Amino acid sequence: MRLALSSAAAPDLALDALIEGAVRRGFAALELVLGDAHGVGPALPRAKVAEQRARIEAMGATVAAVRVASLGKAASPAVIRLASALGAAVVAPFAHGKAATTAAREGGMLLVAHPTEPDAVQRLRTLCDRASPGSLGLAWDMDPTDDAFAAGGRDVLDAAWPFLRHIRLHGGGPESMGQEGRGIGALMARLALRGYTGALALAPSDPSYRIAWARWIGRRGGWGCGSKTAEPSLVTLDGA
Amino acid sequence: MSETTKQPAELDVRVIPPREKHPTIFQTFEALAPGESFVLVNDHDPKPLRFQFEFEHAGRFGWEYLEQGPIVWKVRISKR
Repeated sequence: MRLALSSAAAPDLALDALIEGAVRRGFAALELVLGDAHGVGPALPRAKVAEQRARIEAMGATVAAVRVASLGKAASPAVIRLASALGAAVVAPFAHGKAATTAAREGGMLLVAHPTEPDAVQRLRTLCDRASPGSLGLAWDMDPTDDAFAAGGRDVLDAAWPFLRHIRLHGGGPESMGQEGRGIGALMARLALRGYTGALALAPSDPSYRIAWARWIGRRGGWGCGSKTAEPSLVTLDGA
Repeated sequence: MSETTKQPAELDVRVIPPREKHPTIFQTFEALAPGESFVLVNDHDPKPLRFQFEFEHAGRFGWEYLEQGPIVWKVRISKR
């Protein structure tokens, strides 16, 4: 298993700062959300992408996934090629036949993100079974504080295996104390005993935690323009 | 898609709330068959854990450091 840091934890960090923060915290990989300030995107020339991959690896990390927010992006050959050039899969919130076909044609892997809903995973398995080998898999978006996790977490793991390739854990890192007693330890034990080799990407449970996350990954300096003062809803978790 | 190849089990306890770490580690150990092992991943040297193993499982476990910091520690814990 590779522990990964999602750029959602610090969406305004440039690539080098994101990598430095991740490596400082012992992460082995990154989950890059398309559109965040890291600047990695499908419009970049192939040589530039190769250069960025080399820089990421030289700093001690890899890219586990390129995450997109829309189905259109997931079906884009340019996005699939970008992820493949980074040695990563594309994680998308939905999938349809066209996206899966594009992934297969481009030699990439598309991972369909799903919540903690065993029935939904069962339906997605049908898609995975029909897809070209290695082109379609599953990405579990889990939030252990969600009651659905306690009720159906084990069933989701059973249903998603062996297509589970990526897990996004919402609310880990500086928020992990809030997950006490929610079953994350038992899940980690199950993943270990099954030999899970995919990524486990940590991300905030909510954007309002971004200051806490930025501090946790060791960001230096202020936030500029008094953003903390101006946004009292932001959570700091001082002492985390 | 082919099934995931069985790899040596890796338990990364960095994402587990502190009070649940040791119970999770011992739960994983209990699930092993003799001769099997898992790799513990942590953000500090788990010496207190080793003392607990020596107290509770004396002579029935193996402890091999694979990586010793300064950011990540990896220990192969095996069941004899």
